Amino acid sequence: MQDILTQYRIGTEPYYRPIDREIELFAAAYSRRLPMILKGPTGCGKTRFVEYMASRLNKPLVTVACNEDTTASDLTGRFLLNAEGTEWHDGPLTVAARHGAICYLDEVVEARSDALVVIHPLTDDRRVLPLDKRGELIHAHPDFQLVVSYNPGYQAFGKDLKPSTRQRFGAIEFHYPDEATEADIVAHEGAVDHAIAIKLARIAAQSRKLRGRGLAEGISTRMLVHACALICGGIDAHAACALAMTRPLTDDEEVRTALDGFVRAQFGT
Amino acid sequence: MPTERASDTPSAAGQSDEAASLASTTRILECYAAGFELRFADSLDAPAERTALPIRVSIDTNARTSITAGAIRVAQAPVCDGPAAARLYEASVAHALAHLRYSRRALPIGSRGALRVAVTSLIEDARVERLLMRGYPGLRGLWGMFHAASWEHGALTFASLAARLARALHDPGYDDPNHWVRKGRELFEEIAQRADDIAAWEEIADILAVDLAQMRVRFDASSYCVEPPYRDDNTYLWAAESEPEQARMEKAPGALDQATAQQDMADSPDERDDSPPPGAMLRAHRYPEWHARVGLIFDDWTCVYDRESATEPARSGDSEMRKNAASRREPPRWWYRPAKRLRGRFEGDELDLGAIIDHGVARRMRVPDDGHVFLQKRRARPSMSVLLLLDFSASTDELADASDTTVLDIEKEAAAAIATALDSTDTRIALHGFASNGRHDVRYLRIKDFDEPFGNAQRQRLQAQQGAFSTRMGAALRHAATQFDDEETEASLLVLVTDGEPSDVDVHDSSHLIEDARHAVSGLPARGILPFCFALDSGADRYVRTIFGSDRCMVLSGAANLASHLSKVIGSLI
Repeated sequence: MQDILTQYRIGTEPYYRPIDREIELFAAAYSRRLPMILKGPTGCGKTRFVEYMASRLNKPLVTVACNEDTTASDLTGRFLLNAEGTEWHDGPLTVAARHGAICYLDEVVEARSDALVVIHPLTDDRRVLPLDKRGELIHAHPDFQLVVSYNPGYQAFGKDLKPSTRQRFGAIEFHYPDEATEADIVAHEGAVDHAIAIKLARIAAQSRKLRGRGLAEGISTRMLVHACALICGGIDAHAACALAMTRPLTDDEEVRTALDGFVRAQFGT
Repeated sequence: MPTERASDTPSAAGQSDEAASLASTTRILECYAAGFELRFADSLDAPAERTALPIRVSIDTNARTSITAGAIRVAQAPVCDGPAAARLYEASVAHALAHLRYSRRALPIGSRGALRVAVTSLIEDARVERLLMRGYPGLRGLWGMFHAASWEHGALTFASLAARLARALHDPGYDDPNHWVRKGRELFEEIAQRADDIAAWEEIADILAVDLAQMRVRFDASSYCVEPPYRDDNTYLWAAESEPEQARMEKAPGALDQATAQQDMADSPDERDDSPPPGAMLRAHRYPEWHARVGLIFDDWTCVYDRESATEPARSGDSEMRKNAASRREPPRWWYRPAKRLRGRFEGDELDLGAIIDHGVARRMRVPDDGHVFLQKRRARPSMSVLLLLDFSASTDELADASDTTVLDIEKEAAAAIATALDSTDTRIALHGFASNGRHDVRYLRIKDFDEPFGNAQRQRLQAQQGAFSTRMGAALRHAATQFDDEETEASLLVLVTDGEPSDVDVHDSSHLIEDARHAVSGLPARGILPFCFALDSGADRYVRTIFGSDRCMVLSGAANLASHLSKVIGSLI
């Protein structure tokens, strides 16, 4: 059955630049199979970190992007019809628990909190997943670990984890890296000159100070990498920053003009 | 009458356009300055002297920008808008930020003559710009746009020489034949790497000032105006010579605001509430206000007067009972309401047993079948409480854009239509209104409460409302939010109908109440309340989006059909 998970293996180890002790901590949590919450702002590297850790621990990674229509059966599985009758299909959570993978629920607060209750028996010392519809009780594979992520910065309306869900997890908080580190990351990922990367990192650092002044979140590291890709492709810096950073970030004309000012302060008028 | 109004409108519109564009430019510049916010490690002064306050930016009619600690008063650009003015503002703020970050403040002038002060300031301008450009290299181009001085048509006056030296220090490509300008550049470049060596900088300024004196270049302090235009008047650098000067500087609007604010803070709010506005049975509720300028919440800053939620005293016991019931925390209603089962669906989470048997039979009989064998569970629409909060400020008495009804009439008509329509449904609706007369007197008016029917008394109350006073939105929103405390419905919707931006008689800074209202709105989702705003003001786009967010507001012009929009919003929001 191992072949089911082949598609979920991370091929080459992705680039990840540690900011703090997160690699050590996550590895320690994994060794105890402690479920983990990764929280942090958009585009600061949560998903990349999970991919990196899965690759480093040599475990397959099953990712589910949660949304408000995500139901318990989207996670555990459901009966589908075929020519002969009904056929059970494992959901991503079941696949991971049955065969031994890290199951990563991205943006977990977007899912309805009652749908998430299915993870409860998996995330305490029982480590079982009852499939009531199928009358089956899955004992989680020894390699299985549950990782969820969300962004505490913006509050989706009425969305939060239940305390009973929360308390089953350990958590690591992510932040944007400091300017020099972020420039390293951007230079590596975007394959640009370090001089350009540091300018982009400064623009991002300035934009993050506008949080609460009309911006929900500042420019993310991911946006910087996008801008780099465009600059690499021969687009001039101003246009690349506009396309990848300032325009997508906000519709607020005034904040956008200030952001354009930060771009000018790095790349000239 | 109509002709008169028509002739009035354009000029008023022009003025308000200009004010709006100034307000928006100020916001741009404040955001811009916030991005450069000082960090202690960057500044020369001891951390204690640097405050964490955000930098205020205002646009002023002075000839040159001036800086005080934490505030930048940008000189108004000669052309009121367009990209050139925007760049000038940006360059001015960037230059002022360089001073705030790297300059020493208020050096004593001592025995320095006016000429020496001017030259020292010029060197200092160039020094701090160099320092800021290390982190923000693009500023070279921004500032370079304004260095227009050239030896080709420069006379041997101080103003021309100073502007040319400023350019020579800024622009490595500029070559000036004048000996003094060249010497200034050489001296500057020699110590350019030792940016923190104050004595060395003082020294070159002295040498250059002495040279000018020997060249017998005339200097007239009263007519000298720092060039290029983005640079400030350098009063920030020097300690004021005399008391009157000091007093004049203290009168900067920023300083004045802060002083009065502190005064107001000092007197305890309790002393003030002995003067409730006329009208019996009112209760004072205190709410905090967000002061964006200082980034602080001032507790108990506003006072909202509201009568108890029921007119008859008998009802108060009832409301007490309701409160007790609520505190026992019943489960929400959908808890015991079964989810709807939709059978025979094309897709779904479960199989519909009946449908699948039919399907199996059909298949074995080789009869075509649609294969709709799934079952979906749906929750019924949640129950909802809607609070319609109407703006009853004086401006609602004015005619709405391009119509002959007042905003107040439109509000009343829409409120009556909505309340009538919802009265018989299980959606609970309340009609409340507000007007304010300073922060100590925000009036909250109840036309119909959640528990009241929309009967004749309520209709008469609605029709009797008249526009008066101002719009302190934040306080009213905070009070309105508490009205949902006893509501047990699953969804709460707070709909504000307003005709203009928040304002009040005791607030001169238009952005303050906007920021406060935004702060109040941002606290609503955490209480489970969905906010929405209808603005009956064609210029409302500027502030309602700031306050409510672009997907939580709708700007209606004229006597558009508010009631139909309202019902659409109520229908679609959940």
